Amino acid sequence: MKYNREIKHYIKDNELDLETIIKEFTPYISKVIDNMVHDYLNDEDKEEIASDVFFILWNNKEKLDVNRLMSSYLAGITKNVVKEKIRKKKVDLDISEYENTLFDNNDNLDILFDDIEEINKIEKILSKMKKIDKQIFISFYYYSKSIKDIAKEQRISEFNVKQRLYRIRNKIRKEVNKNG
Amino acid sequence: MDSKNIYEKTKMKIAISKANKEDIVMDNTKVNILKRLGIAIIALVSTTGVVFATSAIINKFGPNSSEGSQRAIDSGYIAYSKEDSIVDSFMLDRYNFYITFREDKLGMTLDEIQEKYNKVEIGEKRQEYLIIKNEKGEKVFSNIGNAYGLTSEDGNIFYTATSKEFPKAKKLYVDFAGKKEVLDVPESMQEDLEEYKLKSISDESWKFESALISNTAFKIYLSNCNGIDHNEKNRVVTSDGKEFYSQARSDGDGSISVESDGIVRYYNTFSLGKLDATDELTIYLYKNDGSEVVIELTK
Repeated sequence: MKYNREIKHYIKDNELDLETIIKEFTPYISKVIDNMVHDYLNDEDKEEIASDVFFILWNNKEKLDVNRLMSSYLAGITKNVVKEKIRKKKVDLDISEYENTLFDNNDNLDILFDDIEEINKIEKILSKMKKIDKQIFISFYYYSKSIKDIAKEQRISEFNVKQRLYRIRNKIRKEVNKNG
Repeated sequence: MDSKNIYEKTKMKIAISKANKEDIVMDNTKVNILKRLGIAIIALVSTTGVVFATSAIINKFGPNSSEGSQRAIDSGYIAYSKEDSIVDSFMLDRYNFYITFREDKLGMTLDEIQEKYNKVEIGEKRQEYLIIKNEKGEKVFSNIGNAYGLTSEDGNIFYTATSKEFPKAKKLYVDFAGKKEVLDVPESMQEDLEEYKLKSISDESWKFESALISNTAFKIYLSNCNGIDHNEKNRVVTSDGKEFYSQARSDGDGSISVESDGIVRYYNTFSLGKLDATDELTIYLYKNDGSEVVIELTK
């Protein structure tokens, strides 16, 4: 794998090419996580960490230095996310030996653990949605597709698309309000 | 670790994050729009628990809702009920009525309702299982008669209706197959119709009867209008140049009739609500021979 590539190699149409980044760097992040926590966390937790890492990367896309290595950012973020996960799970594990071997988060990236925790809760709730609702939600908010195009793809009316989006937003709103 | 799973999860997190941010923006925008439009937003915490929404921009009532209604709903002209209510939301106007029921709270699916109530033999009367009346006992809505559409999406059942004129209501007494509920109607939904007067008509043999506008629709009534046609170009144009076409969703939206007196009568409903209306309106109507009749109206 090409872990020595800079951020600029992963920019496509002025956007981070997240699909490629995730495809190329999942084994790398997986290795970093495993080295830190071994079997103290289960696979589900590890996947959660990995997706948090990529989400944080995306969330900080404006702050990234395009000439720096992608792996350095990802390693720094991973270390911070793992530490937080261990703290939350109250796992009795000493990771101090990795403090100096991994890159630090010296770039003032927003890690926003509270936001991530809330998003993860919502994500768990939405994961139980019907497949079509997930597709519509992702198409609209992730891919920024128009209601018209989504309606065509899903072969449903535009009203139906709007209505499904409304319900999902309502679910999210309820969850956010519940958390204060 | 499966990178596909991780990609899916990451996409979902980003989508949630975007939706959250949009929601905050939407709420702020909404307040500004509503202030500008002067629509009363009243949180009614009442015995029935109907509250007037301050957020959510949506089409709540399925594909049958008119453009005028949709624009009004987008501006917050919609009432929501508490979560334990059989009613999810509704919108009442003098010309349009929409109500959404929660299938799970009704304890009946749409199929069960149709099986039980709509399966009638020829000659048999359909059962009136849904009746909504106002505080004076006047029937606002029934599943028989002026009900237009019925669709079910994600556990909700929509009823949409159009009428020449719905009675005004402060409260709605809902009876859905024995399940009863009383809903408070927000004050903004109790508004009177506003009238337009004739300024000029290009064919003076036609008689202008009246023109009225509600929050969601505009209706014009004519008589002695020989040769008038239901033309898709029939439209209302506001003084700022916006065009509004016929709702044309059902027979209740318009008709051309010749009664025993031989007089041709016409009325039609256009998707122009008060939000978009201007003090002066121009109506373009067409005859069977394609010629145009222009009617100018003023408040």
